Amino acid sequence: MSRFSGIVIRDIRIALRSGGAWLMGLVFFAVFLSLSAIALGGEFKTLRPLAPALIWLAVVFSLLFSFEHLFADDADDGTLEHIKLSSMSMHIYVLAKICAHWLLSILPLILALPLAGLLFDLPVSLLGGLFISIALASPALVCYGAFSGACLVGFKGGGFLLVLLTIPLVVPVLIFALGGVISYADAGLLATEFQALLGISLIATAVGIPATTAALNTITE
Amino acid sequence: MGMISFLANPLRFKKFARIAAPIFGVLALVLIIAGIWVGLWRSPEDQLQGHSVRIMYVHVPAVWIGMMAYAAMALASLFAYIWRHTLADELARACALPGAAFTALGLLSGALWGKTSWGTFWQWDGRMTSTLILLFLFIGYMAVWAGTTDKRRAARIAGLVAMVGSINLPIIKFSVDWWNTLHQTSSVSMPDAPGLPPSILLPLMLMTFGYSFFFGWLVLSRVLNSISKASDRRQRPAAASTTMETL
Amino acid sequence: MDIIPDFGKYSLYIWLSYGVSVAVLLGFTVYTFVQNARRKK
Repeated sequence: MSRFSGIVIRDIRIALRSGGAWLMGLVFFAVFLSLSAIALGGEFKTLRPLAPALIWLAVVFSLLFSFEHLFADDADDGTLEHIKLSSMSMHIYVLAKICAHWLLSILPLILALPLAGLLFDLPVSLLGGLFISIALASPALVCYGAFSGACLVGFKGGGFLLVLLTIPLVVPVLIFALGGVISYADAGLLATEFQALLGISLIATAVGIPATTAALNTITE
Repeated sequence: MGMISFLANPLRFKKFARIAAPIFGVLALVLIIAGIWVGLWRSPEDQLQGHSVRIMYVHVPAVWIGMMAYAAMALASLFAYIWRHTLADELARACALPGAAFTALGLLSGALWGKTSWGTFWQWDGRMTSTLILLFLFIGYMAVWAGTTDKRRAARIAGLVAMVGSINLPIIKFSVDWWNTLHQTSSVSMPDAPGLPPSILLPLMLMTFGYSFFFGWLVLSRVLNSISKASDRRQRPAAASTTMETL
Repeated sequence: MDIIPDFGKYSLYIWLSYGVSVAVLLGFTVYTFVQNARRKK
């Protein structure tokens, strides 16, 4: 456990020391939403029904671009090799990296949601649905992203390839999340879509962590 | 299982493929020509759909082979992953491009069929949407092979991508079907296979078997060619360096 | 039996779907034959 928290703390420290690079996802999120609002004419009447989808897309894309360097730096500076030689399980390492990344990239987005709601003048019920759907889906998003990131360490065109590999896996998440945002107004927390999201997150974690480990093993073997 | 371990030996596989590939090719040629002939000339029009039912004879087999190709690719990747068998990697890789091409053909003919029955080329209908995502999965798999020069690692990663994709395909299919019921697009009416009249079933089956054998011929030839290319590289490094000098 | 059957208003769509399918299959056939010939050489 101490090794687990050691990696989480190390990653957060490195991120905080990097001069704000970890906040770029948040900036992208804000820029994407503003640009969408401008492109769609800036009329709240037209923006409001589209807002949940736009916010979800902003979350997905700002996350996807963040995974390119999740493992690449550790592979370059030999940390990966070191972990493999040590007695630490690779699964624990992957889990720690994923948790640290959740704290660094998804948590800021969730905290920024009320501001995004202001941009689109969203009612509280929709904002609540968005909040819950993003929170429930976030394990799936980070696990799939981490898998693609681990696959593409050292690949040409990593960023675009990462989007291409991850998007098909994210389709079910997007579908149920946006369904859940709508149903939340009537069904609250018990909406079926939220249960589906939880199920997808469980499957994604169960598949994603071993698959990410296997992908990392191809670098060092 | 016995069949697989028998063919896992590259020499035996070569022997088998050299005999089987031409047979598959000839069968494919005969069946596809017969299928087109029956489909366009020798079958009646459907009572409901009229002549447009003929598009089904190229559309449905293409989608089926596309899905079968993905299943074969994932299965071969699993074998390659567990037993580290390069032949299985080659097999998985050989399925990708033909599989993507058949899926694309399925989408294209589906759009043409849709134009005749929906009036639009595209609908966000459950079947077409999941076929489109299948095409994206194929493209991602091929992009992995193209993304690195380290062939050993490309094979491992591509295999993982195919396996993770195949675990997710049922979830994707389920979610897209659920999503489709929300806005109720009319699906292209495709009657259930057992209930099809023989006049429709015959060209459909001819084309399906024809496409299957064609796919088999393609994959076997592609594997044979990539094996011999790899052994060329091992055997003739000297020749390669002389050509470099003459260049 | 007509030499070229007439499918009425669906003609374009039917011929296009068969045409593209056959063209793609032929493309693969030619490409594979070229590769096979290169291997056997």
